[in-house]
Amino acid sequence: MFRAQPSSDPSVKKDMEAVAALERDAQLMLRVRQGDETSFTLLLERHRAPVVNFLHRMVQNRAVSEELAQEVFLRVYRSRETYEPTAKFTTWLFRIATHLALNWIRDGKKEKSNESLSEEVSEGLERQVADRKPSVEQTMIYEVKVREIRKAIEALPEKQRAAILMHKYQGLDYSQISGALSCTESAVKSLLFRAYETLRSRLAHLA
Amino acid sequence: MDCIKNKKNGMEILTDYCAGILDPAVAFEIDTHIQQCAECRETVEAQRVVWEMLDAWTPLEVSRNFDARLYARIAAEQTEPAWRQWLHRVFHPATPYPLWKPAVSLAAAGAMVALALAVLPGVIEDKTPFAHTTQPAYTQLAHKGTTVQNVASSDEIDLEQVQQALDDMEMLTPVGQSPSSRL
Repeated sequence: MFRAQPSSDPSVKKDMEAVAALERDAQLMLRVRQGDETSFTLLLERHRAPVVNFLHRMVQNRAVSEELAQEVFLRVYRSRETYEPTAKFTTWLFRIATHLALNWIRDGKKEKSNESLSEEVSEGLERQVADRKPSVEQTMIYEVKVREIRKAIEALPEKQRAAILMHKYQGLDYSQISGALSCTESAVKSLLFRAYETLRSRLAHLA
Repeated sequence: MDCIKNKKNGMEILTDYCAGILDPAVAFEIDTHIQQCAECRETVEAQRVVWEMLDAWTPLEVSRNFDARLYARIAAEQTEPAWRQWLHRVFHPATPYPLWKPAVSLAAAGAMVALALAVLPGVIEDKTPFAHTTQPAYTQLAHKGTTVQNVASSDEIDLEQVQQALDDMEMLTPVGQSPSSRL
């Protein structure tokens, strides 16, 4: 007789946890629909940082990215009554975020908001060498590297940029990215391969 | 094994391999393959360099008052009149409604109607006999005094014009030769 037993394979365990997390998000959102404010706080807790960071990498401005992230969660809350778990919650969330970021970029607001890198660079470097104070040389090398990466990503076409950020930093799979960008999976693959190819050639000199 | 890179979804497999999201058994196969295939090895190495380089762009800390600002906005919106909340939902939906889809359908339907209006009257007119000729063809021929047989084939023969044509032919007969002398 077959008896279900917990798998010892770590990849299976990881997959099971991912599935459970996805279902949890949808359930939380359904509870928000029923008026449970605590569930919204839990959703915010889980997705605040990924959404802000995705938007920050898209628009490359801290203040703007937080403003757009606020708008994302405001829209999530507004549509609580009509929410239907037809797609994964993360896909829906990143669809809203991508739409807002692309609109912001297309509106040409980017030129008006030049952000200083220094604060971000020192913050990022401190996290990388947390055990000791970074030297001046380390800071300079890191600053050059991050600046080049930011420039290379910024130079990518908008959709390629969104696809690569969701793939690399948010760990979204092809179907989730296609849902967020409202295109087919094969189109996502094509966007990603072109983007990685461009980055390989643009960042080769830093290797 | 054939070169993975040159397969149809080869680049996808190699990218997933670098991202570490492949099934362990497939990843093991690729491990073995790239030891023998220089082209795939180069691609994987280049992709890994980019992948690791992108890791240098670390995430930022979200501002501490992020939640407080968001809750304040939500609270402010909830005190607004219902019609204004409705306007927010309509003009700032969570996900964009694809407005071009109904627009394309309407445009296609409009184009079909316009085409039908342009073509149908022409089709109806074409069904009327000799709709495009203002004067019957045989009358033109008869005036020139040429082929009378063609004229005879028509259902509507103008006898006066036929007589006229015959008289014209008689006039062309050489002098001194009456039609009776030829008999």
